[in-house]
Amino acid sequence: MPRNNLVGHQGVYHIPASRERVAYLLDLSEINLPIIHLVIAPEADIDLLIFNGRHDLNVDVDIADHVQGKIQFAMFGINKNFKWLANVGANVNLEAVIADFAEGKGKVFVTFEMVGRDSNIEWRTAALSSQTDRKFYSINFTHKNFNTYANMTNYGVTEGQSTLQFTGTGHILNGAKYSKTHQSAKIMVFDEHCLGRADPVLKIDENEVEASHAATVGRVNEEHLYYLQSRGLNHLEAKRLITLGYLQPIIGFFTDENIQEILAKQIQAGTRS
Amino acid sequence: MSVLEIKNLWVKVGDITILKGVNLTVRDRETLALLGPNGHGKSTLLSAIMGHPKYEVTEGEILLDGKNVLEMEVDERSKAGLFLGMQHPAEVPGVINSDFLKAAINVRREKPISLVELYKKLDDASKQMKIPMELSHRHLNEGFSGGERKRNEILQLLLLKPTISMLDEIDSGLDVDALQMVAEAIKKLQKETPTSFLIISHYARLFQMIQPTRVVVMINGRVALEGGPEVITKIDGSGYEWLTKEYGISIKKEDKDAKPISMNTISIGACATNEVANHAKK
Repeated sequence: MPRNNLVGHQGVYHIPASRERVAYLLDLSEINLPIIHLVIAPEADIDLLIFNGRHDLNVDVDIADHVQGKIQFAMFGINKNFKWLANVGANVNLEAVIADFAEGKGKVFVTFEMVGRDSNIEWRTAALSSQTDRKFYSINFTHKNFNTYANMTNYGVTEGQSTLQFTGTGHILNGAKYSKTHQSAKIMVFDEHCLGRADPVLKIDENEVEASHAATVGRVNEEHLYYLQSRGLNHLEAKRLITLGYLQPIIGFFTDENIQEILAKQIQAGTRS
Repeated sequence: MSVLEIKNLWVKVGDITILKGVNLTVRDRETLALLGPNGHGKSTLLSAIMGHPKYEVTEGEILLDGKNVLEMEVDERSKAGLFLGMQHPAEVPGVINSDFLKAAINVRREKPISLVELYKKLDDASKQMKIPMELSHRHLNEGFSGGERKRNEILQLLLLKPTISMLDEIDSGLDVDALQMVAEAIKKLQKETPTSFLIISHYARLFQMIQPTRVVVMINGRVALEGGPEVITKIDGSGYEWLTKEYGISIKKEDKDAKPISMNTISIGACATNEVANHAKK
């Protein structure tokens, strides 16, 4: 499927409605504005790939009713703050993923305000924090209407002297009956001097809802390393294989083969301490 | 030619000394059966030879063709020719079996193996062990049955062709057909490669099939007896009590409360969440 480059006008980018899935590329590295606005028209069926390798940027997003498809963020080095704030209409069905295996010291804030009813979003993060990286991810879903669903899964690996933090918030507001918000986070800590932290937050202001969270931060299983080493892999090779196995599944959610290759190489290169 | 020499080996785990002066030589191309009651140090010996970090060698030597094994890292021991087919092979979630096998093969080669050659090797070994090829695309040992894990250990043995193959109760959990397959694989390696075997088993059946050249019995953390295959027949018929009657060797009872050796109390793995939850309950 050919990918269309999104071109904005005065910081506003439009994705039109479509009967079939259409692939788009939004390259945030090319944008020299502090804030942009992305408007996704009703009934658009999207395969949206977003490159992000720049500094401070806010992206305000309007996702209209009946939008469906995939949003894929490939992070190529975030060094300050990236903020994504999306208003989600009714009957929206989206799968969204973010992969961040590049060097970086920054904060990523992602918020979906689920304003319309009956919308579903599946969210996945995979991040590698290596050497002296400092990465902070805050992923938030606010359920404002009936029967909205959000499920987030955040996976990370921290090694060397790096820091990786996931904060996930699921907030079901009063009136958002029958909504469901779930989240799980896992961070694998490889080395003594790195820091992994997962903070799941649930705020529930309504009855007749479902909510759950799970968070695990733990060291790599030494028995796993020993098993791999007993077959001849040295410590670094064993670590690399485990990291690859841990983070690689996210690559399957990207539809662009070139990006899949780049991300796989980044994981390999990132496991360097 | 490969010779593994163990000289006056003392090993402890935590504060408990398990091996108390083991002397043993595995000669070139021999198949040595290692017997003994549970809890008397057989698995500890194999793990210490392989370099499991929990087993601390406090005294003694392990030499492989004259080289000091104790100075080698675990991976160096493997590349030097040692292989341990484990009693409880680890499940490694996320790591694809074929990626792991490719990496294990490549660390022994100068040029990485081509996909075609890897596929052929995997296909041949899988057919021999009657392991479906789809298992090589699954996560390493995750969700494998007990028999599949053991056969996967032997598959690795076939692919890596070590010079000293140590097998720790490789026949436990195997049905008759799988046992036959494992025995055939060992016999093939005995015949076609310069491999020596050091094999722990509680069952005479496997030994009948692979015909060990020598038998060693470990009692109380030491080698108590060495002999020929007739020792297996004797133990199979009379248990270990005859050692007390004939040789005056007293046999300490197994500590049934002893926990399996593990390095992690909490870690990210197959059941990390459960482990954390269980830990929190304590």
